[in-house]
Amino acid sequence: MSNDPLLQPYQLKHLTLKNRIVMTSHEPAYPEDGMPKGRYLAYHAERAKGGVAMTMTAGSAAVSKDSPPVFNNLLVYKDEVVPYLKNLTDAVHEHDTAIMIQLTHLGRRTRWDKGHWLPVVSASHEREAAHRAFPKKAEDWDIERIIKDYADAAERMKAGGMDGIELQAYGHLLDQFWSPLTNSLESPYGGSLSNRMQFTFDVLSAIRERVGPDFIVGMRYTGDEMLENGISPEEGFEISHRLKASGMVDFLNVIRGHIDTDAALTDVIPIQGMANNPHLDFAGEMKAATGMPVIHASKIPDVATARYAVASGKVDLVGMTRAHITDPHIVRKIIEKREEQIRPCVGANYCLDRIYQGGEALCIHNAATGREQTMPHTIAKADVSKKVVIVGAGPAGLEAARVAGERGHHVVVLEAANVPGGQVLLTSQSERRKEMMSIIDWRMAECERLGVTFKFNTWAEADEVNAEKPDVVIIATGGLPDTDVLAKGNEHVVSTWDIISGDVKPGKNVLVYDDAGDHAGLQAAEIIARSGAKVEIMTPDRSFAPEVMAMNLVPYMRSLQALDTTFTVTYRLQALEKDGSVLKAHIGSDYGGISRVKEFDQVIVNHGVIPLDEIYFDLKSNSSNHGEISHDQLIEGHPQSVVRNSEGTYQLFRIGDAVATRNTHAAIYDALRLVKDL
Amino acid sequence: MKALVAVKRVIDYNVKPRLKSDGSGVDLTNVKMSINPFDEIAVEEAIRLKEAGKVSEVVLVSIGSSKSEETIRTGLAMGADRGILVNTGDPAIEPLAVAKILKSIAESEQVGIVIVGKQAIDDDCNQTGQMLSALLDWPQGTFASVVDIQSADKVLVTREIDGGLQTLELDLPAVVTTDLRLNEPRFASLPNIMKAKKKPVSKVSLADLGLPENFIEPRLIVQKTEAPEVRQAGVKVADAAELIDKLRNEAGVL
Ligand SMILES: Cc1cc2nc3c(=O)[nH]c(=O)nc-3n(C[C@H](O)[C@H](O)[C@H](O)COP(=O)(O)O)c2cc1C
Repeated sequence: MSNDPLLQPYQLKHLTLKNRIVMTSHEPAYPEDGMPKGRYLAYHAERAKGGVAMTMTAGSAAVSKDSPPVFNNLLVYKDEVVPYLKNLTDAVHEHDTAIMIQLTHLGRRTRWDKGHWLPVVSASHEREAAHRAFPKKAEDWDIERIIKDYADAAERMKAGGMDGIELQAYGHLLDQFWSPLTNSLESPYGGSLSNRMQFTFDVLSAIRERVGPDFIVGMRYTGDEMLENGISPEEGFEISHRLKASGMVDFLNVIRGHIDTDAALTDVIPIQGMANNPHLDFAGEMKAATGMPVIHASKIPDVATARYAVASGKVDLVGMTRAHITDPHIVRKIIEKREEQIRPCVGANYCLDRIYQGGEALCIHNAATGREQTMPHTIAKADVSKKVVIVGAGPAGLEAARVAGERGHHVVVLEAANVPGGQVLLTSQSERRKEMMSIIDWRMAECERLGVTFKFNTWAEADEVNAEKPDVVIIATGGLPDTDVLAKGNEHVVSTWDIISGDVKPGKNVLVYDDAGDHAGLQAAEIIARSGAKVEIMTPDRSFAPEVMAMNLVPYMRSLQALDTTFTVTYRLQALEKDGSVLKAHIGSDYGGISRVKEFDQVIVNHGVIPLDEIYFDLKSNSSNHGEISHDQLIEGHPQSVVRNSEGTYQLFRIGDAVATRNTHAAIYDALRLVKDL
Repeated sequence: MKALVAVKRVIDYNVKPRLKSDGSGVDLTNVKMSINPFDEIAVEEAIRLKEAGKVSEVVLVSIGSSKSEETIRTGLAMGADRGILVNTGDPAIEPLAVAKILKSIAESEQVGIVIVGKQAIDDDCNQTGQMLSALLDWPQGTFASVVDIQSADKVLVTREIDGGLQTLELDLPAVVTTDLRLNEPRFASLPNIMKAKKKPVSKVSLADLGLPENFIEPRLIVQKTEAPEVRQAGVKVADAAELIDKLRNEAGVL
């Protein structure tokens, strides 16, 4: 047997977990009608197959009707959930993986204009910044019905074949009762710590009465709110001791921090560029103090850190949650001594930021995640090996190369630069976002393993491509910044890439005009602001940088606000006039009636890219399909069979930003779904 | 004042070299090749001198097969002005021959400063700059960490030496070789890669330079090439006492 600390079994009550790596609760927002149906099941089954010891399903599954989902959570207050759970738990158990589920009442962390339009309830009228609802203060009958709702839900979970449940108590109703900041009730549920914890113990007692002493029940809770007058670490330790002393709790899943603002949430679940495992020591202290089984997750994205977390005895079970969103087969690769092949989580947080915008969780660089029913995590070999020539070694081109390599094709990649990466190279010029390069590095390592040939410093023209005698040509050349947005004065504009690459030095008084709203605008703004210049970010939209999304915005704001950047929304830059060294910016508004002039010495425009598509059009006429991609075949997962030119000697496809400005995920998804059927 | 920078196409520093099965050298088939990192620093320095108004033109020269044009294009994408490719075919040529070729070009181009990498990461010779300086009878500033052109005929070169830094004042023209800490080379952006495609690269042969073909013939004979011994796995010791015991009794170093 292996002596890897991560691969040792763990006994949790009667349940033997086969190793130490778990996925903590995370709602990927895949439920259909609030139920875990096929997509949900396929997602968890793939990870069970990959060897994870336990998956904590759901994430904030709603026990009550007045806890309407904020990101398409499971509705476990409905009896109809049980058969779906049965299918889910069976599918996971088949791989000898344990499965549990997190239950919650969100309290004030939701909205009243959802679900049944019931008022939001909490232990005070304090509003939560993130969801904006002003809550009703719970009355006796609210408390009674919610206690019963928890117990009913727990019973359903047991009936659905779950190995256990976990109650969420960080930012949700249970700890809204705990925290002096959000509990203004009188006795018996307000006041002293005992009173503030009473609701939790009432819930636990009701659950135990229903599910018995053997069913596993854990608590995921904050042991330190890190807020003035909130739950202090001392109180957190006291809470932990009392949870243990109650005898009703089987494990502690330790969190540190609070989540009522985007910034606070980001400190609890850090993203790329922030420190790894920031709360591991704290979790270890909780374990040392209580001797309870402890689970903990918070940016432990790599196996080495996970191994340390377990080997050092700080935790019993280590959560690698986003890491599993990126690679479902982590444990299997550890067992098979293929750790270096694990697709790394780069902390882009695309998964989490999307669910807070009402989308489903998707991985920035694994397009099969959440699409297990149609997209493979393991690529099968093709029956016939083809010669595939790919132009461009950015994310789209490299994903195409990797997948074509897995298919067993003979792959050649032509790249103009002397290094791979495309636009990710620009991204990684930001110290904070260097982790993004792993998207490229992992693919390069996989391509090397698969025998893909690279030709760098090669500006491919039709001749270079034809010389390879391809069966299939994939154009993944990306684009160049489009800055032609003004009625007059476009020649005075500098692109975000000019700034990020260092080709143009920042000015002193700079306008960053951004209607693309993606990372490039903020990245350029940050470089300029750091050089000491005065920066104004302007957008015609109602909010700035919408594509960056909530948690990704946090590090930018921390940096830009400290550098005194101005944010201007709802104004449109119309024209520029040069007057000596001064640029006169003519500014209007889509709302009409505005015409202003403001002076700058440099104006940056962020407006996406224009495809670099010359080679595509040069190759089009001699291709068999004239570049056409059948959308039906693409969506249904059939090989492309369009023929528009029977003389054509190769199929031609275009992917990523070489078609139109999108993002990294779109580029990679383009590549995967086309090439998997090649 | 023109700056001449020599750039060599070498195995990429990220690649783990594999030996040819006959032991005659490193297998370069299908291996990623790049500009020698010290030469990249040299290119960057020349471009910075040009940006500072100290240098009027940055000319790159590479010696080797036609593939070395890629290496020149890399430097042009960073911002150099033009390139000269001295086509000597495939065989590796030795530092003395390289120095003689560079001498010929430095003279015909009438450059004010030659900047080369202190060594190439493939053969680690660390000889070309010094030989070139002797052949030209120009002063040399090797292992530079600062290059500060004072006037049309003076340059201050700070060198990294054992135990500290030494600053030399050299008469121009001079030869400078770059050390790691001289600068951090810039990122070659796609727009600049596109611009570099249009920059001129003249291709010359040894004959064009008035040099005899035979003088690039190797003077050294490679006897054999061997991979370093595979490192043995280490062991973990429980405490300091065990460590001392092992150092004394097993390693015999105490
Ligand atoms: C898409 C997504 C949804 C999440 N939803 C929940 C949730 O509902 N409840 C919860 O306690 N944690 C939730 N989390 C937090 C994770 O359980 C985990 O604490 C966090 O991702 C940090 O661990 P990691 O760095 O290993 O990903 C979610 C995380 C993600 C990525």
